[in-house]
Amino acid sequence: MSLASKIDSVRDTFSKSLEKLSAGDATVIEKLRHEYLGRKGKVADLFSELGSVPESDRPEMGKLLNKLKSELTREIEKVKDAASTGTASPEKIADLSLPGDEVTMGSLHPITQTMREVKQIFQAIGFSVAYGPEIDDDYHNFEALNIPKHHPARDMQDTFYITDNDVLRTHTSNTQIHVMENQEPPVRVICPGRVYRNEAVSIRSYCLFHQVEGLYVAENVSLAEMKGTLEYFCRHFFGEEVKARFRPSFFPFTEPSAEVDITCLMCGGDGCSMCKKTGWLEILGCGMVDPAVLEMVGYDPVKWSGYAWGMGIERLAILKHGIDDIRLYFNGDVRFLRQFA
Amino acid sequence: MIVSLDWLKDFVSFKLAPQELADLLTGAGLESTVGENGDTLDIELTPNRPDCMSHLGVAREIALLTDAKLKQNDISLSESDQLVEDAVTIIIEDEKGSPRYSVRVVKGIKVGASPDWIVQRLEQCGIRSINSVVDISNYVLLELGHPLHTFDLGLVEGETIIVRSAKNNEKMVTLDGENRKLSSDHLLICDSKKPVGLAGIMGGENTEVTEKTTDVLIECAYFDPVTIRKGAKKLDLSSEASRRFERGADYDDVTAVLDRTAQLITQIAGGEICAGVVDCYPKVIKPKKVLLNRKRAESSIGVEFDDKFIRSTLDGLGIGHERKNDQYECIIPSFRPDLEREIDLCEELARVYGFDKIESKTTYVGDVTTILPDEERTVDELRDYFSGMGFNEVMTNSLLSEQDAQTFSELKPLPVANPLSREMSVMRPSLLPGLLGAVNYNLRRGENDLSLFEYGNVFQAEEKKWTESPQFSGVACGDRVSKGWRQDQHKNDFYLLKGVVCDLVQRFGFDGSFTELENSSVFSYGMRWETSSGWLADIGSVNSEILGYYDIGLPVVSINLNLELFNSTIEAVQFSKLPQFPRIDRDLSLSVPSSVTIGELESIIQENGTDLLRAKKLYDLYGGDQIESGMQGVTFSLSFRSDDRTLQDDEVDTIMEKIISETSSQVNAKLR
Repeated sequence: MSLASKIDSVRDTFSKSLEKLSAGDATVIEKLRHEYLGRKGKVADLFSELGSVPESDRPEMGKLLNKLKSELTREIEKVKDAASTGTASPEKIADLSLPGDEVTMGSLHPITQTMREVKQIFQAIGFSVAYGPEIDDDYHNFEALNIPKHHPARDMQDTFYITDNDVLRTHTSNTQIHVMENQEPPVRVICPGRVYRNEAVSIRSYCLFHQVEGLYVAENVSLAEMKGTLEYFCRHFFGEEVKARFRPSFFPFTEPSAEVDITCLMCGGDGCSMCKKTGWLEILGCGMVDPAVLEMVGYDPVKWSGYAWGMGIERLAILKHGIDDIRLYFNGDVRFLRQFA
Repeated sequence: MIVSLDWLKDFVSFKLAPQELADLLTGAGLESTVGENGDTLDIELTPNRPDCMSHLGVAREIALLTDAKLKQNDISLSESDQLVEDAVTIIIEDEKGSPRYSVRVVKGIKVGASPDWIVQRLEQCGIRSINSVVDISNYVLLELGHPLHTFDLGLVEGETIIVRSAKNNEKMVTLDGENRKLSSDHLLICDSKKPVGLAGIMGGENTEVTEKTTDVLIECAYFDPVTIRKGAKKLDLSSEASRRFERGADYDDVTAVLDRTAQLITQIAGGEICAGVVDCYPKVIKPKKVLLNRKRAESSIGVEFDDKFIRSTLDGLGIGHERKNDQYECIIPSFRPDLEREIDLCEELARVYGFDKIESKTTYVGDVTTILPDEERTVDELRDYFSGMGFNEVMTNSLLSEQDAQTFSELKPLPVANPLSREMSVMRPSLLPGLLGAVNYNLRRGENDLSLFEYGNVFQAEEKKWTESPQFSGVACGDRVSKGWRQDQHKNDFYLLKGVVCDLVQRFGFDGSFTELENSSVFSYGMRWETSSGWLADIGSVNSEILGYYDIGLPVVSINLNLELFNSTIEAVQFSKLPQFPRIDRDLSLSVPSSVTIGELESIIQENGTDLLRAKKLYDLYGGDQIESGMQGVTFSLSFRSDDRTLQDDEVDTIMEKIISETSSQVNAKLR
C-alpha cells in the first residue's frame, strides 16, 4: 500500500472512531488522541515511513502528512471542547445544572453614574457642558462671584490655598465665570467637576467632592423659570412622587437665593432619622444671578438676567443609594464599587 | 442662634405651635428647628442677616409673616444730677474703625447674682450666668442684637476712653485670660494709660466687672465691619460680639441699647444713672435710599405684586417708603445692612410672598444645541471601555502626603499652603499613588483580584507655577478570571494590558507600535505604544521598591494613557469593504531555540507572508518535557486572503514554504 493510501485509510478509521464516540467522555477522547497523535501513534508511524518514499515524492507526502496531523489535532480539540462544554450535540447537554461562565464586567464609580444621569437630564433641555480648572485664582473663585476679601461669606467655605492668590476651587462656579467671560449671552451650561473644602475628613464630610453647577442667562429670566427647571430636574432624578420645596437662603453670587429640599426619600415626609425628623432633605442651592456678578463679566444687568444652581453629586448619590459614609467613595474598596456594577 | 419662644413673646404675640413657627420662619429664609425641650428654636442664620441675631429681630420677622404688631420695650430711666460728661471723656482717634462710640455710666451699684428669669432665659440660649452686670450685657445682646460692653469704671484710669488702632506687637490680656499680640489691624479701647478692651471682639481683663465693682461704664458702639473681621480673623478669635459687628451692627439703636442696659442694671443691681449719654458720633450715617420698581420686581421674580402687598411688606420690614407710580422710594432701616440695591428688595418681596407660591415656568430662549467638550466624549468612551473590560472605576483623593508623592521621584508635587494634615499636604502629581493606595486597601481586606482605573486631574509644580492636566490610569493584580470547571485561569498581568492597548489602538484607529520602556522610575519592565504623533500608552510592572512602599506583596501592572492623543481622534469611522473572496487558514508548528523571541519570529513570518497574510495568531506555546531542551514549541494559525481573487492552495503553499525556510535559516526554527 502506498503511503498516500495509508494516509487516507488512517483518516477514515479516525473518522469512524470519532463517530462512535459518545459525548462527554474525556478519557475515551484522550485514548483516541494517544492512538493517533501520540509519540508512537499512527500518525507518527506514517511520518517514520517518509524516509522510504522516493526522494521526488517526499515533499508532496510531507505536505499530506502535515495536513493529516493538523486535521486530526483540530478534530480532537473539537470533541474535547464539546465534551467539556457539554454541548456535543444540538439535542443534548451534559448537565444543565453546571454553573455558567464567569463574566467579568467592571463598574463605573457611583459618582460617575450619578454625574452622567444629572448631565443627561440637563442636556435634554439644551444645557451644554463646560469644564474649568481645579486650581483657580481668587478672582474667579471669589471676587467675580461677589465674595470680596474680608466678607463673612468667605466663612461659608473653608478654603485650601496654593498661594495667597490661588485656591483649590470651592465650587465649580469658577467655570461659570470663565464661560461668561468667553461667551455672549444667552448662556445655558452646566459645569461638573471636583471641588475642595478645607474640612476634616469624617463620615459626613470629605476634603473634596463633586458638583454640577448650572447657569442660564437670557433676557427677562425670572425666578419662576428657575423653579420650573429645578423641579423638572427633581422629578426626573428622584421620581414623580417626590415634592420639591424652595426655601429662601443666602449666597453672595445670587439674589434672591434659595435652597431646595425634597420630601424625604425614606419616610416620604413624615420625619425619620435620614431627614432628622424634618421630612425634608436639602439637595441644592440656587438663585437668580446677582447683577454684580453679571456686571463683573461684562454683561449688562439691565438687559440680561439669569439663574444658577449648584448641587453636590456625593449628596445626591448618598440619598439615592442610601450610602451612609462619604469616605466609601474615595478609598477604592471594590466590595463597595462592585455593588454599583 | 438659639431663641427662646417665651422671650419672643415680649415682642410679638403668636399662637403658632413651635413646629409651625419653625416651618414659617424656614419658609421665609430663617432655617429653624425646634429645640429639644420645645421651648426654643435653633435658627441657622445666613451671614446676610445680622438683624436676626436677636430676639427683637426674629420677632420682627414673625410679626411680618403673621401680620402681627411688633412690640417694643418700655423704657423709663431716672437719672441722677451728675452729668455723664463729668464722669468720663471719650476720644475717637480712629473714626474709620469706630464711626460711633457711646457710653452711659451707672454709679453705686452692688454686683451680685442675677434674678431667676434672667438666668433661665440665658440658659435657654446656652449662656451661663456669671454675675448680674455681665448677665445683663449678655441679655441685652441677645435681646436687641447689639453687642455692648461694661467696664469697671473705677479701674479705667484718667476717666478717659480713647478709641485707636493698635500698634504692631502691642499686647493686651483679654477677658478669657489670653495675652493677645496685636497688630495695626486691631482696634483698641484704651484709658489714659493702657488698653482696656479689644474693640468689637472682647473686653480686657484689667477692667472686668466683678463683685467689687461699684461704678460701671456701659459701652455701645458701631464699629466698622471689615476692621472687626480682619482683627478677629488675625487672632482666630470669634465671639458673640465680633460675629455681629463683622456682619454689620445697627448704627442707629446705640442709645436705645444703652438705655435698656442702664434700666436693667438699676433694676437689678441698684445704683444711679448719670444724666445723659456721651454719644461720640462725628459723622452721622445717613440711611440708604433704594428705588424699587414694581415692574422690574415682577419681571425678575415672575409674579405680579399688587401695591397693597408691597406696602405691607415694606412696612413690616421697617422700610420707609414713598410711592410714585410704579416706583417706591425706600428708606432702608439701620438694622438691615444687607439691603442695598433694588434686587435685594425684590428678594424681600419674593421671600415674604413665599417661594412656594411662585408658579413655575419652563421657557428657554437661545440655541438648544448642547455642546459636549471632546474630552468628555473620549473619557466617557474610555470609562465604558475599561469598566466593560472588568475594571472597577475608583476616585481617590487629590491630596497626598509629600512622601507618597515623592515615591514617584521624577515628579515634583505642588504643595498646599494650608493643608489639613501632613497626609494631605500636596496635590497628586500622578494617579498611581492613589491607585496603589487603593490596591493596598483592598489587599488588606482580602481582595486580591483587582483591576482598577481612575480618571482625574494631576498637578505638577513648576517654577512659581503649576500644571493641571487630566490623566487616565489603571492598575491590575491577581486573577482576571479564576480557574473554573471549563475555564482556564487568566491573570491580571502585563499581557492583559498589552491586549488592551492593541485593542484600543484598533478601536481608535491609531498607527504605531510597541517599544520597550527603558529607565522607567516606576516600572521594572514595560512597553510604550508610540504613534507618529507621540506616545499613546505606557504599560508595565510596578517596580518592587514602590510595591514595598505600599506594602503590596504581589505583582501589580499599570497602564497610563495619553489622553491628548485620544481626544484628537474623534472622527467618524471610515467603512472598509467587506472581503469578497474566501480566506485560507494554515497552521504553522515550529520548534525554535528558546533564545528567539516571539516578536522576532512574528516579524519574519509577517515579512515573508506577503500582503496576502491578513492575520496571525500565536495559538500554542510550550516548552518543558514535550520538547527537547533549549527549544520551545510554537504554533501559529495564519490566515491568507486576497482582495481581488480566490486564493489557490498552491499559492499559499509557496508562501508557507518560504516562511518555513526563512525561519529555519534566520533563527534555526524546525518544522514540527
